[in-house]
Amino acid sequence: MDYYAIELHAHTNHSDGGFTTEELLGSAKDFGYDILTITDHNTVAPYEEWKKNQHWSGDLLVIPGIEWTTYFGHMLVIGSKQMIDWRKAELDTIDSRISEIKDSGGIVGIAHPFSIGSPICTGCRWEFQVKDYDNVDFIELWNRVNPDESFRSRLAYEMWTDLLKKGHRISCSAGRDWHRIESEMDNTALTYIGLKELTEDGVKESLENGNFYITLGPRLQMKIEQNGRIHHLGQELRAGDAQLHVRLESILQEKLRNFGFKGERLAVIQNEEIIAEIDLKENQSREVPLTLHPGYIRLELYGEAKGEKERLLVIGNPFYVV
Amino acid sequence: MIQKLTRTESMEMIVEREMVLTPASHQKHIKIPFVLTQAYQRLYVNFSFSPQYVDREKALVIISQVIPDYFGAENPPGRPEDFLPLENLLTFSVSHGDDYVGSRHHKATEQEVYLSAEGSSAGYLPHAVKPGNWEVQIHPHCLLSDQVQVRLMIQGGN
Repeated sequence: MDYYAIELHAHTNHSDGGFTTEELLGSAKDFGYDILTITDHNTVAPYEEWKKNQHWSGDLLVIPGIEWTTYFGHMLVIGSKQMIDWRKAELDTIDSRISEIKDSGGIVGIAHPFSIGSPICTGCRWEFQVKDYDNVDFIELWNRVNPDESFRSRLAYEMWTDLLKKGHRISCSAGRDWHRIESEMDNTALTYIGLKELTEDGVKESLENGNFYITLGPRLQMKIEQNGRIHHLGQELRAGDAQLHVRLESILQEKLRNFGFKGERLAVIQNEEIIAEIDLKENQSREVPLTLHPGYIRLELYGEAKGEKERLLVIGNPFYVV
Repeated sequence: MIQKLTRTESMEMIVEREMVLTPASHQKHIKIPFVLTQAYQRLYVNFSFSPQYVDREKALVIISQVIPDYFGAENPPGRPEDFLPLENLLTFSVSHGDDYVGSRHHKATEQEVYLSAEGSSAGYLPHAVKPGNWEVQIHPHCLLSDQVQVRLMIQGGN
């Protein structure tokens, strides 16, 4: 199981992005992504363009997607085999559309749920009345530039943790919402996804299962051992004793090294209560004995960012405990 | 104004529509179905709307009403003027039967797109222009000027 850098939210000039498809793919390779999901507003045309020009992507794995850009919210739809019609999305029946997407093998994520909405940014605020959040795969907690500084990230975090506390299995993502190259002064967050093999089906499976984490840059290996078996993010554990294995590794992307992100402290959170806090520095491995209770357990890394202490650097998606 | 097509191919007018829309159409899809009785090499859709911007005084009233929802006491929004200009945003999409062909969601007030089996404009999949039921939908993501003039022209080219 290796973790790969994936961007889940990117645009081209097939909608309102500044990149051609070829430029986006080139920029993604240069930045250091392993996987790119192209999610233009209300079209999958750039993916079809890429299929005829696969030499543009080199080793980058390209995944089809679309950002449903509706009047009531923006929704990321990834890897759906059929094109489900975004124009049928209505405020109080979105569950039916989400079910259609899931039946078609698609992954569903809520983009920037607490963005400024209509009419300033049309449909950008999530207003859909979802009845069953178990069908939503992820919520984009960190969006666009400097997400670590935005109160909208905190609101999205509260929405996500409220859903976890209610027993939903739902993940968090970071979305660069990449329209054009950002200023050197602005940082963007990353999503790392765990894969047995670097394929589209593998990516969809891990997105559905929650085997991914978000970070401002530092890489965090997170595994829980129970009864001699290793479990990864999103997997199910039994209540009882277990052993957490973590290792903190350096930032790979050159640009992100300039913001002084430095891990210092790992918080172990069980059903939204911190049950352990340990020092964790770069290139350090730690093991932590755990007593698991039904619900979920997840990890957050805190440390230095942009010259300030005690900043949230990494959020791991939950391990679920039954 | 829609630019005049200056193509060498023969063009046939299929739909020509001028509309004056009001805020009653804000965030309501407008469906414009049409039937092609023959195949074409290309389908051209010209679309434009005006004005681009909501009148400043009206925009300030609307912005003042909505920004408390998007900010909060701890994170005050600043002045309504900071959110100007407020733009009307109308896009459109094309479908053929059950096939969604695409859309180019961006802020331009004039768009000319073509569709064909060999290739289509940005935002649209390559798609053969065959006889059958087609539809353009106009999507007024923001339509808050008192009146917005919309022009739509659909032509087949061979």
